[in-house]
Amino acid sequence: MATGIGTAVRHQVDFRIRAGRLLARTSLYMVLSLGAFLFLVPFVWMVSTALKEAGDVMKFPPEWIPQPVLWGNFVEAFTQDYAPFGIFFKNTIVITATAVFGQLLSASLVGFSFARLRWWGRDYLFLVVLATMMLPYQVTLVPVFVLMKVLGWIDSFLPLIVPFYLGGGAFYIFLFRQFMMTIPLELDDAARIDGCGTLWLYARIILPLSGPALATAAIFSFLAHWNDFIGPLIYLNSVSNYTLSLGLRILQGYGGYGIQRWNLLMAASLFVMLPVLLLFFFAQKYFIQGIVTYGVKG
Amino acid sequence: MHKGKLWRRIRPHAAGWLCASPWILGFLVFTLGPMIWSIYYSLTEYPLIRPPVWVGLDNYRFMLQEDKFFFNSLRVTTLYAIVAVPLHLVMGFLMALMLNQKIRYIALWRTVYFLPSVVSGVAVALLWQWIFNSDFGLANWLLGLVGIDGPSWLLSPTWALPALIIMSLWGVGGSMVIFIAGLQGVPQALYEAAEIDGSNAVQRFWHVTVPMVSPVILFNLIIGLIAALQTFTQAFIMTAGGPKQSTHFFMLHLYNNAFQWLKMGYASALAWVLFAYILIATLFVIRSSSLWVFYEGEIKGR
Amino acid sequence: MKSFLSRRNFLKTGVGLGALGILAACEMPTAGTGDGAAESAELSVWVWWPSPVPSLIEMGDTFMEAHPNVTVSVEAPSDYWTKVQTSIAGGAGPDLFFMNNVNYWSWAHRGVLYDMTELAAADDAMQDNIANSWQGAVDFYNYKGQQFGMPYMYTSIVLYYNEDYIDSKGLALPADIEDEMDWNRFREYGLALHEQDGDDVTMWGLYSTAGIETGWLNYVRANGGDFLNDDNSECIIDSPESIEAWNYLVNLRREDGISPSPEALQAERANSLFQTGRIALYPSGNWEMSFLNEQLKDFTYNITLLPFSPQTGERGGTTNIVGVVINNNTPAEDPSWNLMTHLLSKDSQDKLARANVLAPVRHDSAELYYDPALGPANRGAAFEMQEWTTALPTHDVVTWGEMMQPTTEWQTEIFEGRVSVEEGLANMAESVNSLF
Repeated sequence: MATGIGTAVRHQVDFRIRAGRLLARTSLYMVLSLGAFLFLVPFVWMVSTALKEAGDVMKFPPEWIPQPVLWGNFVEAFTQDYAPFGIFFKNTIVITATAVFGQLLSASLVGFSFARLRWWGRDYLFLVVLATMMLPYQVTLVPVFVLMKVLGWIDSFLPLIVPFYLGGGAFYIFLFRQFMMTIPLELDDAARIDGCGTLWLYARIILPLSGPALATAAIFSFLAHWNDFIGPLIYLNSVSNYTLSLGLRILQGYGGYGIQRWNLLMAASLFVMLPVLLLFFFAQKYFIQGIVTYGVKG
Repeated sequence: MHKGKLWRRIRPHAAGWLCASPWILGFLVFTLGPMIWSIYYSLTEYPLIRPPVWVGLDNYRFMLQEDKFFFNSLRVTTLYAIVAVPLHLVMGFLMALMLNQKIRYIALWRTVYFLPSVVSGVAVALLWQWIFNSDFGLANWLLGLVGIDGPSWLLSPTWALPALIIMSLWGVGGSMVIFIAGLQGVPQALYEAAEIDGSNAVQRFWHVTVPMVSPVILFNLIIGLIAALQTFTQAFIMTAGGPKQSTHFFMLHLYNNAFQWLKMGYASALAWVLFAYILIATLFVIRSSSLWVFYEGEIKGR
Repeated sequence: MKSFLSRRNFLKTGVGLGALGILAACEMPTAGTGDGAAESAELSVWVWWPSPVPSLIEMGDTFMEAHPNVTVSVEAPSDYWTKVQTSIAGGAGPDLFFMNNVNYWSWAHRGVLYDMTELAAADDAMQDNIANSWQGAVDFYNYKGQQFGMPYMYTSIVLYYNEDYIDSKGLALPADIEDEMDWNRFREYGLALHEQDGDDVTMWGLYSTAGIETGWLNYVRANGGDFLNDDNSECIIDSPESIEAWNYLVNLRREDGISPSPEALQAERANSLFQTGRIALYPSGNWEMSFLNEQLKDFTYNITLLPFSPQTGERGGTTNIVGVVINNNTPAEDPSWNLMTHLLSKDSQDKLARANVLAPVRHDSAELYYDPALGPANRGAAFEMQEWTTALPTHDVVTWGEMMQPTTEWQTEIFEGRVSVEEGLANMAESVNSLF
C-alpha cells in the first residue's frame, strides 16, 4: 500500500519532470529552428534574387521562386565589356594559389624551426612572433605601400604574393609550431642517427606528419587571399589586373549609371562565394580545427 | 680539427636560424623597418608625389584640433565595438550552450550556424546591402511578417550602424565553435561534484560553466575587439561612411587620408593612434580579466 | 574662371569653321603617322564610367591600324579617382585618362598632368582639331596659360518628360510651349500631373530636389545667382537670388509635395522612377538619352529646355566638360600625344557622336550627335540649352570632393525641411568658404 502511494507520487513527480523536460526540449528545438531559418534565409534570398528577371527584383513582398528562372543572369553578369570576369577569376586563382603555397611553405619551415630545433635566441624571437600578432596591419600599411612603389611593384601581383613567402604571418607560424610540438621528438633523434640533415628532417619527416596543420592553414590562407579586398584595392589599378573582389566593386559602382541590377550583382556575388562554400562542405573538420587551435589552445 | 668542432657546435644554431630566416627577413623588411618608417612619416607631410617634409608633431596637433572627422570616426568605431563585441559573446555563448546538448542531428545544426561565418568580403557586403534595401529588402520583409514597419537602414543616420552590427552577427558561428570546444573541455566531474553539493542548474552554470569557460570568453573578447576596431570593407562597400558620417569608421578615415587624399604622413599618424587605441583597449581588458577570468591552475594551487 | 558658351558663338564657329574643318580633315594626314609609327608602346586609356568604353575601343582600333607598333587598351576601373591618383603617385597609372570639369583645376595644380602647351602649338593636326572645337571648352582646359589637357565631350542639362502621360492628361507638350514654360507654369504642370492615393504616390508631378549638377544650380543661375563668385574666391550661394530660387524648389517639395524628397530617393533613384513611369517631369543630363533610347519600352519620352525664371526671364544651366589628359609619368610621350590627337580627330569624334554618349566637343561632329534621328524627337533642345549654360564650379586648391561634402549635407537638410532655406544656405556658404 505504502509502496503503491509512493509509486503513484513518484510517477506524478516523474511525469512533471518529464513534461518539463519535454517542454524545454520543444522550446529548444523551436529556438534552434528559428535561428537556423534566420541564418540560412540570406543565402536563399541571394539565390532567389540571382535567378530573377530585372523587373521581378523590385517587387514587394518578394517572390521567392523566380518566374522564370534566369540562368542567363550569370552569363550576363560575367560578360559586361567593362568587367571581364574571366580575367578576374584567373587573376584571383593565380594570386591565391601562389600566395597560399608560399604561406604554407614559409610558415611551416619557420614553425618547424621554432618547434623542433634548438638555437640561440629562439624563445625571444618566438615572443616577437607572438607580439606581431597583436600589431594591426595599418601601422605598416603606408610604408609598405611606399616600399612597393620604390620597387616598382604597384599595379602588379607581387605585393599580394611576395610578403607571404617571408614568414607567412604569425598566426600560421604559431599554428604549425603548436602542431609540430605534438609530434614525438624520438623521430628527430632517429633521423639524426640516420645522418639526415635538418632540411631533410623537415621535408621528409615532419612536414608529411603535419597534414592536419597543413590542411587547416591552407584553408585559412585560401579564405584570406580569396576574399582579400583592401590589398587588391590598394595595389591593383588596371582592370586587367583586378581580382574578383574588385570586379564585384565594378559591377556595384556602375549600377550608379542606370538602375542597380541586383539580380546580376547577386549572381556575381554567389559565384565568388561558391568556392568557399564548396570547400567548407568538403573540409568542415579543418575549419573547426583551425578556429579551435587558435581559440582554445592559444 | 678545432674548426670542425666549432662548426659542430654552431651548426644546429645555424640550421635553426636558417630555417627561421624567411620570417626574420620578412619581419625586418615588412614589419620592423616599416614601423620605423611609419614613425618618421607620421612626423612629416608626405603627399607621395613629393618627398616627405618634416612637420614635427603637427599631424597629431591637426588630428586633435582641426580634423573634424577624427573624433567622429573614433566615436563610430568605439560604439560599434562596444555594442557588437559583447553581443557576439552573448550570442555565441548561448548558441554554444544550446548546441552542446544531446540533440538530434547535432552536426547539421552546428553546420547551419557555422556556415555564414566562413564567407566574408565584398560578396557578403553586397548581399547585406541588398538585404537592407529599405523598399525591397529581406530585412524589412521579415520585420513586416511580425507587423513592424522597418526603417530605411543604410540610408538612415540612426539605423546604418545598427544594420552593420546585425550583419556582423551573421558571422557569430566562429565564436560559437570556439565556445563549444571550451565547453567540451570542462571536466564532467566538476558538474557531478556540484550536483552532489546540491546545486541546481542555474548555480552550476554560474559557478562551474562560466568560470571554466572564462578564458575562452577573454580570448573571444580580445580577438573580437581588435577585429571590430579595424572594420573597413563593410563600411567601404555598403555605406562609404555615410549617411552623415554615421558609419565613418576609423579605418575608413585612414584609408581616405592615405589613398584618396594622399596624405601619407597624416595617415601614418592615424595608424599609430589606432595602434595605441587597440593596445590600450586590449591591455585594459587583460588587466580587468584578473577579476573575472578563472584559470584551471588556480584550482590546483588551492 | 568660367567658360561662357553662347549659342550665337557656338553656331558661328560651328558652321563657319565646321565646313573648313571637314575639308582640312580630309587633306590632313592622320595625326603623327610620320614619327609615331615607328615607336612601339602599350597605351592604356582609363575612363570612369562604362558608356564610352565601346566607342573608345573602336577609336583605339583605328589608331592601331595606323600605328602598328602601338597597342591601345581601354578600361573603366572602379573607384576611378582614387585609383588614378594612387597609381600615378605609385609611379604607374594609365597613359591617357579622362578628366572632368570639376576636378581638372585641382589636378592641374598638383603637377601630375603632362604639360602639352608646346606640343599642341607645334602640331598641325591638333591645331586643326582645336580650330573645329568649342573654344570655351578648349579655354577651360587652359590652366594659367598652360594646356594640361584637351576637352573631349560635354554634358548639358535638359527637362525629360513622359510624353504619353502628359498627352493622356490633355496638357500641351512642354516642348511645344517652351517659351511659356517659366517656373510658375512648371509648377502648375507639376500640380496637374501629380497623382497620389493617400500616402502612396503613383506619379510624382516633377523632380525638384536633385543635386548641384542636374538640380538647384541650374535654377540659381537662371535667377542671376551662382555657387562661386567670378574670381572663384568666395561661395555666394546665400545671395538673395539664390535664396529665391531655392525657396521655389523647396516649396515644390515641402508645400506642394509634388517632388520626391532626397532621402526617399536613396532607396530608388529618380532615374529609375522616371524610367518606370513614376515621375512626369524629370530634369537630368544628356547622358540619359542613350540609356532611355535603349531601355525604355513602356512609354515615349521627349526632352525640352529647362523652365526659365519669371524674375529674369532667363534659363540657367550647367555643363561638365569632360576632357582627356596625359599622365606626367608616361614612358610613351609621343604615342600618347598621337593618340590624344586621334581622339579629337573628326573620325573619332564622329564615332563618339554616333555612340550617343555625350556631345562631342567638335562642332562638325556635334551636328551628328544632335541629329533628331538618334532620338528623342526634340533632341536639339540639348543643343539649344547651351545658350544659358556655364561650366560647373571648380577650384584649384580646394578639391571638388572637399567642396561638395558640406554642400550635399546642407542640401539634404534644406530639402528635408530640417533647416530653413536662409539658414541652410548661410551654413553651406560658410562651410565652403572656410575651405578657401
